[in-house]
Parts: sequence; structure tokens; C-alpha cells
Amino acid sequence: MQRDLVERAQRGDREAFGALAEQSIGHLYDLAQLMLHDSDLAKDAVQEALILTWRDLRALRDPDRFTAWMRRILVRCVYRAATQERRQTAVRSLDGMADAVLPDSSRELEDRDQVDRGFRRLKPELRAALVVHHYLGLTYDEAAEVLGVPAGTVKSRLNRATAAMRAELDAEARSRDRMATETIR
Amino acid sequence: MTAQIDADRTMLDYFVARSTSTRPDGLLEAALTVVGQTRQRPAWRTLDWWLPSAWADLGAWYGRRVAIVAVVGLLIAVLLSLVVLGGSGHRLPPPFGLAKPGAIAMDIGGDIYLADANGGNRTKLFAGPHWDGHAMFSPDGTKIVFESGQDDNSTALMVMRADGTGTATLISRMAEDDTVISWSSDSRWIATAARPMDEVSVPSGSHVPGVDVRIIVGDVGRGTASIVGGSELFGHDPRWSPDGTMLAFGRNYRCCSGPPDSLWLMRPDGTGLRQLSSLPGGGVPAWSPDGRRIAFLAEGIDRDSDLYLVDVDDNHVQKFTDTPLDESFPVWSPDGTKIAFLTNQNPYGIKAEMEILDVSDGRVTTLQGPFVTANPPVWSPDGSHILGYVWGTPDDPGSVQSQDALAIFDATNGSEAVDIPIAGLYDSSWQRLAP
Repeated sequence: MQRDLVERAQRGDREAFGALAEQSIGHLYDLAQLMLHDSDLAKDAVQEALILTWRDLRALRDPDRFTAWMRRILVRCVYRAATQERRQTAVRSLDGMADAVLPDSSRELEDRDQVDRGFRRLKPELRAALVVHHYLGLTYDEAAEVLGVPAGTVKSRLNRATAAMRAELDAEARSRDRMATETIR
Repeated sequence: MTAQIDADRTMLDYFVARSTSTRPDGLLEAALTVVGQTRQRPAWRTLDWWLPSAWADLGAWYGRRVAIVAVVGLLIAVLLSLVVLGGSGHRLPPPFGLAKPGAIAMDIGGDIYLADANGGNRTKLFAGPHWDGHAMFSPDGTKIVFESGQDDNSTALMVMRADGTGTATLISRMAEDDTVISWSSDSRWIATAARPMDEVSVPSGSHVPGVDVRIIVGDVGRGTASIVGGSELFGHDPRWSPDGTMLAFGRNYRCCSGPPDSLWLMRPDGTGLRQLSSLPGGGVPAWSPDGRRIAFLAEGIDRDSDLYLVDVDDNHVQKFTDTPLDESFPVWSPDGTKIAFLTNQNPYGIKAEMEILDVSDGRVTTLQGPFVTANPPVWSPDGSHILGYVWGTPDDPGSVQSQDALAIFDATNGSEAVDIPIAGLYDSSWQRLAP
């Protein structure tokens, strides 16, 4: 079904591409907002990714690889959006994600906030590696294709990201222990 | 392993909690509106068409890194070049004025040597099968021109780098050549005087030694040379003006009944001949560093050789010495305030006193030191010392065959010269380095 839509879209059928976009846009936005942590930037990245996908669709040799190919385009758009984010001096609100947070126990929320703080400090390339590997469950080779880097680089980015996150969590834990000790005294 | 699993689970939980299945309102419509206005590109205009899609991104990824490495490498290479060039003295000195003293090129026993600034640490630079000598550093200190005896008893003018490499012949088959080779200030040209051995216009037996000598200009960069001034011009001791536009030289005439030798100017191509002084015997010119005056030798009343200065603009001549002895080889100090010259004490030219003329007041000072030969004195590039050459027994010219010592005269405070014994020393040239 998807293959048929892709082939029609490659021949210039905008309705077919509209159907493909409707199928994909939720997934693309999900990935973009996870990587960017900013709903407005995520929207920009998704919109640009869809436009580029349409523009260059005729170059896709294997229609069955459409999803991976579009994800790769999205990652490039996410990097560009992140660059724009760094250039902007105004602080954007980190909204949009709060609506999606599921009810949790207070402890789980606290843990998630720690992860969240660590994740936000990562560079976009490291965030993207974490998302495609841990969230999409892609292997190193698959992640390499989506991220457009060698598989070895995917591993090193994951290691660096994990180490940075762990350091953030450890720092938080030490701070919490210190506060608890002072409270007891 | 457990820690890794925990980390994976933590990240997955985090992403699942943060993920959303809802798409923002209006996003699809906005994107499709733009898509509706966008034309698809032909496949061949995208990199994905030419390369497997994974390769396309990898190419860009590697390309960026290669570009970064190339730029960084280039910057490092430029910095290293600057450090190496700056640290190794390759910064070139100006052609005039004070400079830092470098090495001394010496003619010792018919070979070319390089010594440090106090005459020590001598290393052989060039040793041809016959006599080699008259080594002369270029004003920028990077090249040495010298004469080299050949199998056919002729002399060749050769050029090499200051380290002795890159030797090349500039002029071949010369005879009766000058002892001084003049460099142009840009270190590209040389001028000398010699009798070409292939010149057949002189009938056999009619040759007058030292008279039918021609002015030769050589292009060191191109390795070419030519006689200048046409078939009727003969002369000796050509010297480049500081601006490189003129040659001063002593003009002579082949026929003994012609006018006496005198000082002339011409352009380096032999045109624009102009007599600077009609004093007989005029020659051995030395340009002041500013190019406005020329020190030269000419005959005095008692037919000895005296020292004169002439203004290049108006030919005004001023006499500076008037002794019964022969003066020889005036050489300007690098700063243009003094002229070193020699006063011969005997007719053999091997017992002379080193003198300094203060150009501003005309005062002549005899430097303290041994008698030297009548070879051109050499100023140190910083103007502090003058080199002369000592015969072992100057009153008995038949007893020695070469100079025996280098005399380093102090040109600043008049203290006694320092003698450095060097058997076979003939003359020398001091390298200029950037200050």
C-alpha cells in the first residue's frame, strides 16, 4: 500500500503524497519534538522535512525504504532547526511536551525530570542518536543510515550521551544526599 | 550488563513518557500547502540518485571532516612555515643600510669556504678542479657568485646558494676578469668585466693586457649574460647604482693613442653613456648607499692614485686624499657615513694601511693593525668592523705565495685589529642578514 503511494508520488501525484504525509506526520513530529525539546522548532523541522521529501522524492531508488529515507531527511532538518535555536537569543518556552506527560508517581516524575535536565544539555547529534536507538529501537547500522554517519560514530555518540546523562544523574543524586544529610542534622 | 539494561530502560521510559501521538493542529495543512507550490526536482539533481542514500550522507559527513582537517592542516603548515622562516634567518635584509652580520665567504687556497662571523668554523662550500675565488654574497644574503678556473685556462662565473647547493654557471670562457663582481640591489643581476676568450676581433699579438676588457651583465635568475655597450665599449669595474638603473665604470680605449681612462655612467643595457669625470685614470667606483655620490680613484698630480667623490647629478668632483702614495679600493660603510680604503706603502700592493674617511668632515683615520694587501676591504653589515688580508712578509713579495691571516679591524673605537691566521686566504665577503 505504502509502496504504491510512494510510486505515485514519485510520478508527481500530490494526493498520494498527501496520504503519505498524513500517515507519517505524527511519527515525524514525535521524533522531532523528542530530539529538539521544543514544539515550535519541531513543527518547523517536520514541515521542512515534508517539503524536502516531496522535492527530492524522485531520487529515492527503493520505494520500500521510504520511511528510513524520510527519517534521514528529518534528522537533517532537526539539526538545522537546532542550529537556529542556538542562534536565537530569546528563550523559547519548553512547552508542548507537558500535555503528553502521563500521570506518574511523584518519584517517577522526579527521576524523569533529572533525565530531562540531562537530556536537554546534550548536543542535537547526541540527542538524535539516543532517540533513534532507544526510542525507535534501531540497530547501530540502521541508526547509522538514519543519522548519516558511520556505525562507529553512532556507538561513540551513544557512549558520550550516556556518560553525560549518567554524570548529570550522579550529580543530582549527590546533591539530594547532601540536602538529606543537612536536614537530619 | 545490569547497569546498561537499566540505562536503556530509563531512556526508553523517558522517551515513551515524552512522546506524543498527536500531531499539532494545522501542521499537515501548512506543509501540504507549501508542497503544492513546490516542484519536484529531477532525480539526477540530487546526490541520492548518484550514490546509495547512505553513502550520500556519509560522503557529506566525511567531506566535512576532510575539509576541516585540510583547513586546520593548512593553518598549521602556514604557522610552521612562518616560525621556521622567521627563526632560520630567511627573512631578507634590505640591500642597503645596517644589517645583521651573517657568515663570511672566504677564498682559501683556491677553494670557497664559509666561516662564522669571527672567522672560525670554516667549512668548504665549493672546490673545483682549479682555482676558485672572488666569492661575493648577494645583497639579500641568499646567493654567492664566484669565479672558477676551467681546464682551458679560462674562468667561469658561477652562482650557488649560500649553503653551497644549486651551483650553476652564469658566464663561461672569460679571461682577465675583475676581482670584484657587482650585484644589483635586488640580488637578481651581476655586472663584471672580463675579456671574452672567444672574442676574435683582436689580432694575434696586438692584445694589450687590461685594455680590451668588456662590461658583462648577467641575469642570475635566468642564467644568461651578455656583453653590453656595443663593440666599441671597453671598461672595467662596473658597479650597479643602488636603484639598479645605472652602471658606473672605468672606461678605457683599445688604442694607446686614445683618451685616458675615466669614470663613466651608462644604463645596464649599454645605452645612455655619460662621462662623470674626465680625471685620468678614473675608475674603481663605489656608489654611496643613497645613490647620490660616487667615490672613485683617479690620478693625482704626481700620477699616483687618489680618492675623489663626484656628485652624480652635477658631476661636481671633490678630492679627498692627496698623498704621494696610491690609494685603492674605496668601500662605503653600510650607513653611508664613512669610506674605507687602502693606502699602499710599497709598489707591490701587498703592504697597505687600512684607512677610514669620514665623509661629513673629510677627516681620514688610519686604523690600528697590521699592513694588509690591496684587496678590497669588507665592511661588516653592522658597520662595526672591516676585514683585511695580511701577507706574511709584505716587504719580500717573492717569499710568499698567499695571504697568511685575516685582519679584523675595529671601525668604531680604534682598538688594535685582531689577526686570525688562515694560510692561503685571498679575499672574502660578508653575508647580510635581516636585522
